[in-house]
Amino acid sequence: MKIKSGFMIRRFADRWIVVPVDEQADKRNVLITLNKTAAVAWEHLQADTTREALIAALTERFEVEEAVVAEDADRFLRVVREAGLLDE
Amino acid sequence: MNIYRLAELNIAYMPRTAYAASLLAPYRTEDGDAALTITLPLCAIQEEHERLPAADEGVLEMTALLRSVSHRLTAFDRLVLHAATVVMDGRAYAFIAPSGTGKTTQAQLWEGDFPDRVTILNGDRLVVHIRPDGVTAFGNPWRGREALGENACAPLRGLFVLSRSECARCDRLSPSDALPSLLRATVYPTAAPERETVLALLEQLTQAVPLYRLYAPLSPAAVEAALTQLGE
Repeated sequence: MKIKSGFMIRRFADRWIVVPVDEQADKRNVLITLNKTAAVAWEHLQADTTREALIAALTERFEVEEAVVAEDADRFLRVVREAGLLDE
Repeated sequence: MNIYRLAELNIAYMPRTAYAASLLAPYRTEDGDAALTITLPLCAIQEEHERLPAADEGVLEMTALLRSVSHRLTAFDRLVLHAATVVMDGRAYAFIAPSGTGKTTQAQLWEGDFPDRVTILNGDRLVVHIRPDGVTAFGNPWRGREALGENACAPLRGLFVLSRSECARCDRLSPSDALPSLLRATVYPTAAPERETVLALLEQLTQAVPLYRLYAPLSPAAVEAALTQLGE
């Protein structure tokens, strides 16, 4: 699975935001605000990956317990899936 | 071509209608060359006609010109915002909200409460020049139905995102929380490079200017709530 193409991520003040661009912006007009964990998850999902690989990447990056990270990762995947942003 | 000075930028443009010429007249200048030239093709007027079938030619021209100016000015670190703006004691305060929420009314309340201290810079649109040392608010020819405003400028010292409410309240707002309202209040191109330009300007704006959410009934209580936050 990976995030659909046509989205731009950038820092905005103390957050990261994701906006559609080009053809994707013509289809929908969304603004997604990400905290640091979600921003790292978003970057990881730019390439085809799995839930397990995402959790491993977050665990290594933030040096926290896998169980905590798994909850954040699942919540993130649920949000992007429901928003129709995930190619699976 | 006539040259008009808008937000300290010389723009070459030839009005098509007497209506547009009269609204632009206070901004006409003989000093200096144009930094950019705007030409409105007939299709631009036609597109506005499709959006506003009942509008006359003058209104269509000014609407098309506003759209073009809004797009072109971003390359010069200037943004056009859908906002009503007052100047109080030499400092500008802008109210952002969708049409019908009461931003022009809010500006009029401020002017009514403090006639010796407040003027209305513009009742409908705001042009800001965003620089590393601060943001300046400028009057412009698009003054809304009530034709409120003047060719003046002041440093922008506060931006209020307005919501209609029974009770008056004013809270500080973070840049990321203000962003959705700001995006609705400005031209927001879909192409990636232009979208990035607008977001970069909005980021500078939100970091340079204090942001507030103003829950406002259409009464002086809203003015009081805002002024309390400003420390006035």
